[in-house]
Amino acid sequence: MASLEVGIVGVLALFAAILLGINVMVALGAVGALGLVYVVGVTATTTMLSTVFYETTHSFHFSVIPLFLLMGLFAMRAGLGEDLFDAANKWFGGLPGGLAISTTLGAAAFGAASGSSIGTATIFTKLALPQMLDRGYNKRMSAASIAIAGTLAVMIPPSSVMVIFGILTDSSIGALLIAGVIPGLIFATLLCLTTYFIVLRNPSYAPRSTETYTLREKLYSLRLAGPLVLVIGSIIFGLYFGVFTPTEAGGMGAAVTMLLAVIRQRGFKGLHLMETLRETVKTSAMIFAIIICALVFSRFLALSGVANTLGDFLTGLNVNRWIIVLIIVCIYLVFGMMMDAPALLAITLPITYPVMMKLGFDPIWFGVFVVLLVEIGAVTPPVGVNCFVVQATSNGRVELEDVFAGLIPYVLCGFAMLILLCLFPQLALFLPQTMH
Amino acid sequence: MSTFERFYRAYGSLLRAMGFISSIATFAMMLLVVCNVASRYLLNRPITGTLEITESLLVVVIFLAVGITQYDGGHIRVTLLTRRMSPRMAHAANVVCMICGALFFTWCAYATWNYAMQSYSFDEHEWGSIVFPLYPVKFVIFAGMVMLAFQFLLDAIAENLMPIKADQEQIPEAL
Repeated sequence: MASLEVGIVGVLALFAAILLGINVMVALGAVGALGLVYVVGVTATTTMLSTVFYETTHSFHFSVIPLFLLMGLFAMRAGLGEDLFDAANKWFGGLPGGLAISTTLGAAAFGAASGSSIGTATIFTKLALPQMLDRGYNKRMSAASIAIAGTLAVMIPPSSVMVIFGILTDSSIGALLIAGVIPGLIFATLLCLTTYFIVLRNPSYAPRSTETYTLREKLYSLRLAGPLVLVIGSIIFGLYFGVFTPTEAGGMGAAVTMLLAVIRQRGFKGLHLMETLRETVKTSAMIFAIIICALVFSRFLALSGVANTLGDFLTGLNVNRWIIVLIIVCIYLVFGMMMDAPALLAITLPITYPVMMKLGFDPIWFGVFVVLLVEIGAVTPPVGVNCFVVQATSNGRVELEDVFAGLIPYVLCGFAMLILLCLFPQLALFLPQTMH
Repeated sequence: MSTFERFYRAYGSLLRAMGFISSIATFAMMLLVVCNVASRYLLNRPITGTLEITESLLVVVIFLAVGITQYDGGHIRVTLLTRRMSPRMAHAANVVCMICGALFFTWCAYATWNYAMQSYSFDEHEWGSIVFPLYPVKFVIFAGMVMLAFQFLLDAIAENLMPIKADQEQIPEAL
């Protein structure tokens, strides 16, 4: 067998192994290592396995992952989402579809801090869904606006999914984080506009709120939400102006969020500190195990030549490169149904990343594009993880069909965002190119 | 409770203890990074060795936690097909999966042991702004691999000896 054929067999074996239920990390690592044995021999493979664990984890830059996760869990455990939703509601609740718009904005801010699309969907289902339904909001729109808002979490920094992309492709983590800012904000605006127009067309979907709040009440609602938004803002500014590195941003973010959590819970007791830390290290271990094994697999693909040949083949096809982008979009939407972001990126990037680079796309742009794509995959029927989360957390008040049906306009809005990114790559690239 | 089950749980407690050390290391990492930034901007004096210590801490954080993550079923797997299999088929598939994990990580344990021993034999040090030996963290990687491989082995045996554990796709809250 030529190396190339081994590469193709390797890719097929990987998917077979994953479908059989083998842990994603084991599938990536074992198939990659066995393939490497065929291409470069046992000794060289063992040498590679001996160093890859150390070289990937003995890193200051990659320490950002546990720190971002810690920040997110502090924000979640301490109930800071509640404050954000409350504040957003006091400020924007009077608009048509105000509660849904407040949900999107609250989730955007909370998701930015937590970096977790599933976590955001869970918390906002608990917070916002009962309020919307009690107020007589349309079930479908309410559930869908929560499911989609989770996706904002991974776009606006700090976002561990962006970091994972950075590690897997050896791109600048700082640049990737900053690149998500403008598209994230635009996407949040688009989602609010979508809600606004849905309600404008069907006023019965969202009975107008008659509650009004005094300026004093509005300002008071910002006492904890404000600092959290400030933390996110300072992380973004700090990264942009080169005041600190992503890892330092993560450390500061985690510490300040912990402080806010302590204030809110009046002490450490409600913080469940040990549980939060344990959750953090377990998720970090899971992410790194997948990343390291993906690196083994990607080394195998590179050495077998399959990544290169596929790239040459696609570039030699003489079709418009956007057609290939379209194919890649379809691949991600299909696989996005099966697994969550880190695993999906780990499996696909060794193949798609070299191809996209060969086609002349910018690595940072591709990062933003693919992360958004993966998240849209997480809400697209028939199997969208976020939708299950919303349905499961709703205490039976919405059906899965409601979530999916309601999502149609929002998913279309997601595609519009993808198209915007393709038409105006500068949306993602402007900030990274001008950052210090 | 059978002898195996007792052993399984006792081993779980060991992994939990390692996870505890890993948790402490994470918290220490956060404090160190924050103190360094504060000290740099407020006192104009960064804490010597922050970079090097953080690097080594990350290794400790990750590899002391891989075992407990497997024990709690936190390593992602796709159960799209196995969920639809007959119980016998699913059982067989699970055993195969766990054995694959055990074998692969045994291989990794062997490889990382060599690497750590090599580092130990020439007394490798971190020669940054502070100087400390590097081989201990390399042994931590080895220890992590051994704990993980062994947990996979125990899970394979547990498939046969222990009442079926709830086996569902677990998606961590933090993602």
